[in-house]
Amino acid sequence: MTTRATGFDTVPKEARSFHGGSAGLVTRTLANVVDVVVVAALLAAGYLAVAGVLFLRRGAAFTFPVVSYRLGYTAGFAAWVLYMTFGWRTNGRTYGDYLMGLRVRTMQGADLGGVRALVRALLCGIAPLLLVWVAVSRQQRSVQDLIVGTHVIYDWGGSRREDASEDPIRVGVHVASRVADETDDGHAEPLPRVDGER
Amino acid sequence: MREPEPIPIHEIPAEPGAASSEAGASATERGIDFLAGVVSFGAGLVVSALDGEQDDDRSAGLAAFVAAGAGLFLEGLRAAAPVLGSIERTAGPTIGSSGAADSIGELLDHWRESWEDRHEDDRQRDAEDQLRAAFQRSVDTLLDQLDLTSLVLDHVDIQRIASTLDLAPLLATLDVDALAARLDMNRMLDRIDMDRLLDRIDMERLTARIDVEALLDRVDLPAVASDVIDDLDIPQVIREATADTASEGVRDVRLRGVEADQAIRRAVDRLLSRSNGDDR
Repeated sequence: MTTRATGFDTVPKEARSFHGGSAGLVTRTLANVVDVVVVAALLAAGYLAVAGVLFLRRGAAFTFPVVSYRLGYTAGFAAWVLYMTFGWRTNGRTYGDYLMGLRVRTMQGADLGGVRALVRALLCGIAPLLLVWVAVSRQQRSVQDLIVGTHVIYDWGGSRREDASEDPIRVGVHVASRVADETDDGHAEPLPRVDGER
Repeated sequence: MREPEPIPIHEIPAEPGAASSEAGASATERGIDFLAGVVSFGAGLVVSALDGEQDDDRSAGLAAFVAAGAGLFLEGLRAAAPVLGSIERTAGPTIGSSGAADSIGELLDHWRESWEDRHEDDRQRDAEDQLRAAFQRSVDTLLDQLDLTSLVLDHVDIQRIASTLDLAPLLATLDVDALAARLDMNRMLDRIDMDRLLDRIDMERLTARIDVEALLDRVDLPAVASDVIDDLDIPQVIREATADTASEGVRDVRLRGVEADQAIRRAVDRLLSRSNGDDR
């Protein structure tokens, strides 16, 4: 989902200095951890739902169903891919992304299409460790990003002013440590460009 | 001693007019008279007509040529008249000295006089032209030697002259509108340093003189406000500003994540000895 520019800078004040910049390894990893927890919770909820149905049908003969490793892995992988695809296709972010203030975008800054979101989710499910390439990449893109042509940006919600000249893709991450304590002077500092970014 | 006996010769009358009046002009004399009259009249007409255009060199030359031609022709008539007269005299006693010769002589004198007058006029005009040119050259040379500006500045009290001038009638005759219409205002404005001009304007005093309330009374503020609100899309602004309802704790985690990203990135940059513009 893309917010429409309104003439006001509705980006939260703390995030204005890095809004739109490429996200790094730590935030993305944390987002993935959150997503794993979410998917695990979903799987657990699913398991409990199935168990509940079985309990209603079997009554006293009920025992918790035993899930084989193969079934568990397959169900977990499918749930992960579906969850990721759904999140990126609809909002451009999963719950983990939302919590960490991230959003997945194409290199042109557009929302992801269904196919691109599905392929990216499959790649993330098959080889999640390829995310580490973010630390090495000059543009802070993982291998999955490079393959499907996406990047992950900081997006805490809101939009910049209509006349803002900064292109979010070009805007780099600025030092965020003092942003939280920054007094309200009404002006966010201009962002320096990240070297090597297109 | 014998008185010498006069040799009887053919008597020639002394007075041509008398002769012609007594004996009557011969046909030749009348013919020559008539011819001379016609030539003289025609030449006079042509010369006077051409004299009217004195500034034209060709006309002047033609007039001189006609006058000379007429003079030559009359000279020829005068030379021919005695010969014709003698022939006529030999033919008859009534022939005497020709009256035509005299009238031709008068005509010739007239033409000579007018010729000389013209010549005299030309010489006088040439002399005047030379004199005028010489005078002009002298004055130019003199003025070249003088620095009139410094001369005037040194010796003329311009202030005094200016104080005696009554400018009012001069200005009254000045058409300022016509003068202004000839001015290229754009070029004038291009030469004005607006910054310096604005520096000299006391904005405080200027704004103090503006009646803001009267100005606002003329503005339809509700309409303006309505347009502004429509353009701003306030509901959308509110939606966006309240969309991220993350708690303070979440915001703190996010900020720490961003800091960690930065730290890792700097560390990797140092590890790979990356500098600006290096894209590996």
